[in-house]
Amino acid sequence: MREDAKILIVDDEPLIRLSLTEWLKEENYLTHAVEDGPGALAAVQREPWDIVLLDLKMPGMDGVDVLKEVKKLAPEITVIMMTAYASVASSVQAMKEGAYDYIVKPFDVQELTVLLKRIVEHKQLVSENILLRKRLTEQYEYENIVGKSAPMQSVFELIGTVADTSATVLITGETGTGKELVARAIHTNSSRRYSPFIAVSCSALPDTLLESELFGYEKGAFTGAERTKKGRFELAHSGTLFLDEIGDINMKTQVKLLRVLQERSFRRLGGSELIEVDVRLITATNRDLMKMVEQGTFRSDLYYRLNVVNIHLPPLRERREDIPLLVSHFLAKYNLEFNKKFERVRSDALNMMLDYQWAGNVRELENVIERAVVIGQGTEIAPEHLPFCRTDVEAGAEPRTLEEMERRHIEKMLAQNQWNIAGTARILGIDRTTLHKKIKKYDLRDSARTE
Amino acid sequence: MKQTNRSIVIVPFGGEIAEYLADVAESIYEQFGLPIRIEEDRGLPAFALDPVRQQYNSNVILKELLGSCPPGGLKILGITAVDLFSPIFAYIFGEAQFNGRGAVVSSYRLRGAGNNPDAKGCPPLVSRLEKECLHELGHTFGLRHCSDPDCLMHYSIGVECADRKFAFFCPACRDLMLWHMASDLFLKPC
Repeated sequence: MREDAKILIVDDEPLIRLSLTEWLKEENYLTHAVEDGPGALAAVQREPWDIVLLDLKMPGMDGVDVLKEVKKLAPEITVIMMTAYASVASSVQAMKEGAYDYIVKPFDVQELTVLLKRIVEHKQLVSENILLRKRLTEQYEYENIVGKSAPMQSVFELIGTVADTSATVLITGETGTGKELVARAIHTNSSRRYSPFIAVSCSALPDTLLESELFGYEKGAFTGAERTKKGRFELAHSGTLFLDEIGDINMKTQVKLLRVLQERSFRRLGGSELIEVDVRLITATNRDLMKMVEQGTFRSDLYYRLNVVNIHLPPLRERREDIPLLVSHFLAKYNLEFNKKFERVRSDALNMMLDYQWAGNVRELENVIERAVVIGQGTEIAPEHLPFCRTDVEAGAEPRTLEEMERRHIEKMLAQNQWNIAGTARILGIDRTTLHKKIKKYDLRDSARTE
Repeated sequence: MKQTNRSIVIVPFGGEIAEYLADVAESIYEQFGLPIRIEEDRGLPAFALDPVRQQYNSNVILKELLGSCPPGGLKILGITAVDLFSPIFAYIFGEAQFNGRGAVVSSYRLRGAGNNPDAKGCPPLVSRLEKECLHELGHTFGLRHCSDPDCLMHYSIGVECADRKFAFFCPACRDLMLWHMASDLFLKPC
């Protein structure tokens, strides 16, 4: 029997207190005895107890009153009433107030032994259950990536396998599926984890700026280069360089990148010094690189260099079974961040989320939960906290004109790319100026920023 | 090795248990290795009779034993055939002072099976009485209940449960008992 089951004895008779304390000690329990209700409440407030053996008839504060207070202070404590008279009425009242059981004095030693043993075993099971649940959740999480579905479990397995090699990894998947998280997980599980992890979004920068960002430049290399600047490749030395949206780099930069990969060295823009680097490269894209190779917009030799190991992240609609797990993960995260107490999701709200298409994948789900936690009150997420379904309703009605179709498509693409103009223009196959004109024409606004 | 003249004193209360005393004394000697002294029968413990419950109060008997421990007595064990109770329990098989000097055991509820004292096919009363005496003496040597179901110090729920355990300590309890015995013999005043 575990030795740390703590029992508080409350009885006004000194002999009972003494005898019970002695007996319980021999039974391997930790005990303390007090003579009245106020003493009991003070003890309950002071430290945690597993079981309280409480006398029903005591002068001053009655046993049932003490029971009510104990249940208010610490509802998890199991209270057993002790009574000298087998008074049915008072025992029934005590059970109604939350007592676990009652025993009649003098006790049957077997009955009491079995009763206490049963309670302790139950408590052990409950705490084991909590522990197991926690472990189970941890099993479905890998460095903040959440998922119990088969495709995600194989992603976790792949991360574990490739992490501690120096293999170049290409992560593919739609926008918002967590490509950067995977890159970080690979880095933190590799021997390079104490060296820097440098992330660059290739679509966020114009081509010339991207080059100077990656390779750095010497003072005077171009107008405005007032001092020498180290590039991301140099900064990531002995660590990991993560190039996101690799499908968006132009042919010239592709050649340069290929050279660095082959020679493990490069020159800064405008510089002559050869700089050697030891960098593990991880790249990611939401585009079909193989198709781009076929179309001639992506170099095949670079593609094969980058795609040594491919980790594909499935879109959220293909792993709907992970939605409840993700929801509770984000609920816990944002409860902590915004000091809220959401404990569960109403089944109709969960069904809405399970039915939704999630074009923006996990990132969109995270945003939805974050918004719900920020604006909502109480402990339950309800459908009214999830206004995203309105866009669904609107989308249900077919657009009649081409113009309307264009407006909706541009709006959708902008939302999916977090209003990244350059990136969205590239996806739409138009230039940025045209996109700006369309945004103005349709009076589109970034709802995330205007809210 | 230093010889000790400290002994375990057995005090019979009532003649009913006289026939078991020699066997009980022998197994106590086997387990504890200390000299055993059997005192004269003190008769039924009428001083401990509770007129309302019509049972004998083990606390009162323990007090009487402790007040009359002869010189050289390391532990004192009372054995009786009357029905014992303690203030908190409806009945008991025996009671001991934890890490103390005295213990008392009754054969009353060790007979038969369940509530039937005359049930047939039960182990002889003497082997149950031996185990109960060794168990209570174990408490006086600072032993708590043991989780090993074969050990003498395993808690028994009901008399049948006691039948399955052996009449000796598990290695862990034995080591602990010897440690406490050494402390009782050489560190505590007589």
